[in-house]
Amino acid sequence: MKLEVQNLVRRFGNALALDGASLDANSGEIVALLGPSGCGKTTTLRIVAGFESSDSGHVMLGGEEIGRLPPHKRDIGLVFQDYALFPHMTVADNVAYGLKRRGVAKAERAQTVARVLETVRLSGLEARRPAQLSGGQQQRVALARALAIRPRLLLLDEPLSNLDAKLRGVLQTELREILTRVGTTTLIVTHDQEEAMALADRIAVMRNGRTLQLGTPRQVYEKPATRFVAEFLGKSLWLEGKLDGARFVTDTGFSLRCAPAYLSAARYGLMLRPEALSLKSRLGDGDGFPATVKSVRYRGHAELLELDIAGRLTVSIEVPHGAPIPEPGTRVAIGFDPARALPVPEDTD
Amino acid sequence: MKPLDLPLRIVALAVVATTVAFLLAPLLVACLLSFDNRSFLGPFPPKDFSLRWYRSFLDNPAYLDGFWMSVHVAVIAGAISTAIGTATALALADPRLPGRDAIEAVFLSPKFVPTVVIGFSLLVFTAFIGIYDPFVRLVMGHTIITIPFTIRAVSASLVALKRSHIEAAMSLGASEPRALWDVAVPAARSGIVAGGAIAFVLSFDEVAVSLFLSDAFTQTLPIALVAEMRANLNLTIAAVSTVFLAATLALLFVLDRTLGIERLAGDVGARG
Repeated sequence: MKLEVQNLVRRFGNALALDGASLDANSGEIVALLGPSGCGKTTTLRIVAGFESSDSGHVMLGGEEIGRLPPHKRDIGLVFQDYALFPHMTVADNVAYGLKRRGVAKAERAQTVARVLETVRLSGLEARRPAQLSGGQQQRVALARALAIRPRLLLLDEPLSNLDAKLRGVLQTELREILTRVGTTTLIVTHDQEEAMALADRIAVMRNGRTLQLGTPRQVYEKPATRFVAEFLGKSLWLEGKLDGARFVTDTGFSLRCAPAYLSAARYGLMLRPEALSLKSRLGDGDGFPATVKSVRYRGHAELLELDIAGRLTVSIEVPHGAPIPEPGTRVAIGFDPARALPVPEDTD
Repeated sequence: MKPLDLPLRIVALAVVATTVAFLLAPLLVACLLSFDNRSFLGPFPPKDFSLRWYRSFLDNPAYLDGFWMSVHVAVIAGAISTAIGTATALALADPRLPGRDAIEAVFLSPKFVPTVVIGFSLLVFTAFIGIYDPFVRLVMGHTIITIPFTIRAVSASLVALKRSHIEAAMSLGASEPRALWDVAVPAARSGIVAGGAIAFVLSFDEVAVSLFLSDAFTQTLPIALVAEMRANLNLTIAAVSTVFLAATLALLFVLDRTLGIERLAGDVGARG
């Protein structure tokens, strides 16, 4: 079911938690709400779930305004960051709880519970208590419990943040697979860009209570709306300066060739993703700049060079084994493909 | 930790032994005296034992009526106190409740107001609003003085309850009261039971408030004891005290087995 969040404003005392946040998720789509802590993503989630109210703005689900409905009448499945499994109930009772509240008959409840637990691959653990489960299992019980009510919308709050790094990778793939299979419209709140990219069809990047950009992982990574989005979505070398036609003149005095700007803005910076950079023996016209090697670190699959640019910026470049490794202190040239040097708007605040 | 030096250990042991002796000796003396066959308060220890004071206790309507009155008051006041205490603790557990600290302070205040003051105030107040029934007055008084303890007991058991549990139930289709009933009340179960037991015990041996609120015909057991002690001092009081003590110990034993004594001691110990 289509979710539309329009111009949410929410003030807590003097603090403006939401300042006109908007986003949407098409039916069956997985959208990640990505941003640093305090950006308003959790408040947005809580307003959609009904636990907070907005001062103004709309929450529409399937074309129907749900902003005034109490949480228990919204048919929204919610997976909490701490899972919030009922400790005094078994796994089966946890999953059946929403069905019980809906007056579903016992036999049908048992059937649904069995089916949903199979979906999340937890069959056989029906009689366990939450305390007897691993973190990953608890998370899947929470997911099963939310899915059991056949929600119109599924909300996941930092779904993988409570799990250790090794498990996270496995569960990420599995979660994506389950979510795609059940086909419920899903909104995921996360501060982890890697998680957002792995799980979501589209990513809404939030900052200071506003949505800066809503787009596919590729769009937000390759064509970020602002410097903040560019830097939040991954490493980048950010050069400050001025856009001058097809060239970008940096404050450090380089005149570099660049791709055309895809957004109009008052001020631009030049974004260079690390994978677009390489060491060059000689530079052509505006396709690189000099740097000094600060340090060399062995990183297994490659050598990691830390380079100083004009004494103001530092950038890391991976050099594959076999290529010559310059000594620290050496002057080198960093080159790039001008088509991958993107003028990106600076943030306006 | 390094073991203490021998002389220090002896001193420490002596202090502990003396303290235990002072705590338990009076109780033991009262117990022994309750079986004394003499009709007067004679030198200790008694030489001849009988159950005559227990018979006297059972024969004396003042004690028996007092006992049943105490049970009635304690059960009703304990139940009301547990209900109010549970509801209050649940409300206080919600971080969104405005003026939480102030509300908590008001509900816990009976703990810090001298019970004599509560007794007198309640006597004047109930007369003012037209409640003259001493039973109702006693239930009111005992409810008020036990509420801080039931709140504390339930609050302690709600520490592990997270707001997200309530919200999870609500997102699954439970109204907020329903969510509290399904999720918070089971979580608080041990605290509710402990709070009820504490309220019962406190009400059962309450003296100061009851002194003001009871009358000649409506007396709790402790009040009957005090009255009887003044009128004619004999060893029936020792027998009653022993029964009292045994009943309390039995209750504590059951609670320890079901809930653990530490939580009860923590709550009762914080009294006054």
